This record gives sequence, structure tokens and C-alpha cells, in this order.
Amino acid sequence: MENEHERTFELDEGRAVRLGWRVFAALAVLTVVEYVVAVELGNNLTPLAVIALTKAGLIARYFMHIVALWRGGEEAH
Amino acid sequence: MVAVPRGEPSFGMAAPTFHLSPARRLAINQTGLWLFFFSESFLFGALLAARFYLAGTGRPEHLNQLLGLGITSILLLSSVTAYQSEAAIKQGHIGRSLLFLAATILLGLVFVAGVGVEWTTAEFSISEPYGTAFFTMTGLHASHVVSGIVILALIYRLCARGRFSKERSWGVEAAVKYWHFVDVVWVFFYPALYLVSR
Repeated sequence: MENEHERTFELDEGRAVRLGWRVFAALAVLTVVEYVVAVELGNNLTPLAVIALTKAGLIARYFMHIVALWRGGEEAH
Repeated sequence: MVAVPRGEPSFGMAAPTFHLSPARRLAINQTGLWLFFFSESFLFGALLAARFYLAGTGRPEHLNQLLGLGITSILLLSSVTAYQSEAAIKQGHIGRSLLFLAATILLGLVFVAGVGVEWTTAEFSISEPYGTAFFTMTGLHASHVVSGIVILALIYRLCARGRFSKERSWGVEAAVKYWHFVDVVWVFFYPALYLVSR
């Protein structure tokens, strides 16, 4: 699954573009949830930290291709 | 792949040169960039800790929440355009890559303008604990955004001159990764400054 994303990015720009917009949609939804949590909940540090970590994970995983580090440079690109 | 020194030791006359395969050089570049991100994360992590040390989990009542949400959305959108630029150059589509680089630069400028508006209209001062944290964190982050814009502009110029291609895209990839890193930092700064409360 992880390698599949990397191959998609390399081989098919159309699929990569769609994936990029799907990740953006997920980030946008999480940002709205984050805002609602902040408005509705007092003492909201823990849920906000979980949401921020999830958003950072999505960006690192899909936009920054962090898994390529573990796969090694020769395979990555 | 092992680095092979060329020639005999030069006894101070000239440094020996090393021949590395392109794949090996790319792997070293990528590792170096990630080590840079790792070291930078300590700086931003320290600022995040300082925010809670100085001001606890409180925040002023009159924060401009709409502006905070707006500039956050713009930065997230700029990450998508940066990603599309990288995807395009890896397929050899220079024109599309340039288009998305330009869009990323534009969105970055809008983000910086938004921070500028926030700075000029803030109803708290830098002498308050929260204000100290707010202006330091947004200031340092904005300086990284500005440096990202400069890097992306340089890459745009090089790309327009044909320096990058499907096979040779590391410059675009590195600039885009830096941009994403700046976005990740804001993902933590935004809730810490605008949303968290007791």
C-alpha cells in the first residue's frame, strides 16, 4: 500500500493529482472539526493535539513521502 | 553503492573527488533534507513549549478567529498546489509545474499578508505573556514562509530556464518538501495560538 502510493506519484500524474485533492479534503475537514472542538469544548488540549498530529501525519505521509526514507533512495525515485 | 575516491591522495594540493551514482547522491540529498527538518523541529518545538510555559492554556478573548482559519486554509491549499507542481515535473510537464509553483508562491504571499494584518490589528501587546509567544511564533514561522517563497521563486526561474526535467527534479522536490514542512509547523502552531483553551 505504501509503495503503491509512491509508484502512483511516479507513473500517473492524474492519479497523483486526485490523491492530492483527497488529502486536502481530509485536511480541510479536520481543520473544521478542530475549529468546532475549540468552540464547543473547554479544556480541549488533548483532542486538538490528536487532530494536529493526524493532519501532520497526512502531510508527511502523502505530500512529503516520508516512507521513501525507509525504502531507501535507490528505490524511492 | 560505495563512494570511490578518484586519484591518489594529493597531500594538500587538492581535495580528492568522489564519484557517486545519481541514485546514491539523491538518497544523500534526501537524508540531509530530512535531518534539516529534524533539527528545525527542535526550534519550533521549543517555541511551542514556551507558549504553554508563558501563557498556560489560555488565550485572549478578542483573537481574530476568522483570519486565523482563513490563513490556515490558504497554507493548506498551498501545500496541494506545491504537491501538484512536484507531480507535474516528475511527469515532465514543465508548464503545469510552473503554473502550480506560481500558485504556491501567490498563496504564500497571501498567507504572509494575513499574518501582517493580524500583527497590525492584534488587541494584545508583545509585553503580555501570550503576546510574547504569539509574535515570536508567528514571526519565526512567517520568516520561514518568506524564505520558502524566495526558494520557490528561484526554483520557478530555474525551471522556466529548463534546468529541471522528469529525470532531474530534485530541486523542485526539495523546495516543495521545505514548503510542506513549513505547513506542518503551522498545523501545530494554529491550534496552540488560536484554538486551545482551558
